[in-house]
Amino acid sequence: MGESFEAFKDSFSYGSRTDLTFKFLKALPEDDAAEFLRLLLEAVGGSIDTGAVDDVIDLVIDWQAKAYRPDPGAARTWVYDAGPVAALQRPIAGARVAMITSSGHHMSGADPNPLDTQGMTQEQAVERISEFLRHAPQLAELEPDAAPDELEVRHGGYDVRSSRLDHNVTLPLAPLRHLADELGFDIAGVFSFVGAAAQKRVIKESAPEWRRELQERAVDAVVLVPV
Amino acid sequence: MCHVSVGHVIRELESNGIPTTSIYVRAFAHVVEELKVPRAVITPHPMGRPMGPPRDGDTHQEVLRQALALLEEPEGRIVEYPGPYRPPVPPGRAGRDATEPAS
Repeated sequence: MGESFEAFKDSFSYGSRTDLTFKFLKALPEDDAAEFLRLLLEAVGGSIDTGAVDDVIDLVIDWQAKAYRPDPGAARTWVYDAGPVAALQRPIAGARVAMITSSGHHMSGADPNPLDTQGMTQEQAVERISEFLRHAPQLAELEPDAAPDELEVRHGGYDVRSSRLDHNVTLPLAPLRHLADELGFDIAGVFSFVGAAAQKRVIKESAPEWRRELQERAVDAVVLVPV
Repeated sequence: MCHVSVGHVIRELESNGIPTTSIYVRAFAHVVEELKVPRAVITPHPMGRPMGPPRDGDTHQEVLRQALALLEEPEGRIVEYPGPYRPPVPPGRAGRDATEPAS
């Protein structure tokens, strides 16, 4: 018996056709997934003559958002009625600002060896995503003036191709350095972790530990880039 | 899940007096609301490219600039960065307009 359309669309999400840009197909009902593919092929067909891919780009972005947006009334685990808000206690000029990304970056030669595995590849990270989701994340510190070839990125939850073309897409070191000079703040530390992690362990273990580290560094504010 | 993880880190920092600002792609803007993230720039970019396209340093810088400006908002603020997401044209292709009809 041939493969069903449902099995086909689901195969892009950690299946036989895994593609982290299009893994959202699994979250779409069959009719919606079929409509997306129809529209995508239509846009690709149009680009053959014009060379313009704007329609293709916009379509992917719109349907990612549609797929990841939760259904109204759907049960959600992490929803809060209110949130804490702290105010910056000094002008940005002269402040100590840190950055944390969940992009999965680390310095070359300082691999955190997740899941006690040395030399884990991107492909292995994708294959083992469910294990990542059962563990606390590891925080890697990065040099603010690291050159691109001193950085590595590995993450089983998103398409890292764009980060490998330009790390600033998910780890904006160059803009951070530029704005630190322009606005007069100090870079108090740059960190990255793999955001695919056990949430209760993030809440109870990782976040408090990282907060204490930042407090020891007398950080005034933190920029965070989820990926 | 990454966007939720970062949201929990944000809540830990804010509740301990460390203000934060963040950049979330539109596909996960609902996490900003659900986790009550106080300051965020919502970018109209694909998942995995929160700061913008590769080699678009101007966009990366402007997105970060807007995020840092939010630190001046003591009560927090959520802003949307205008689109669209457009990778820079590779060298050698600039000036070519394939949509113009052939003469």
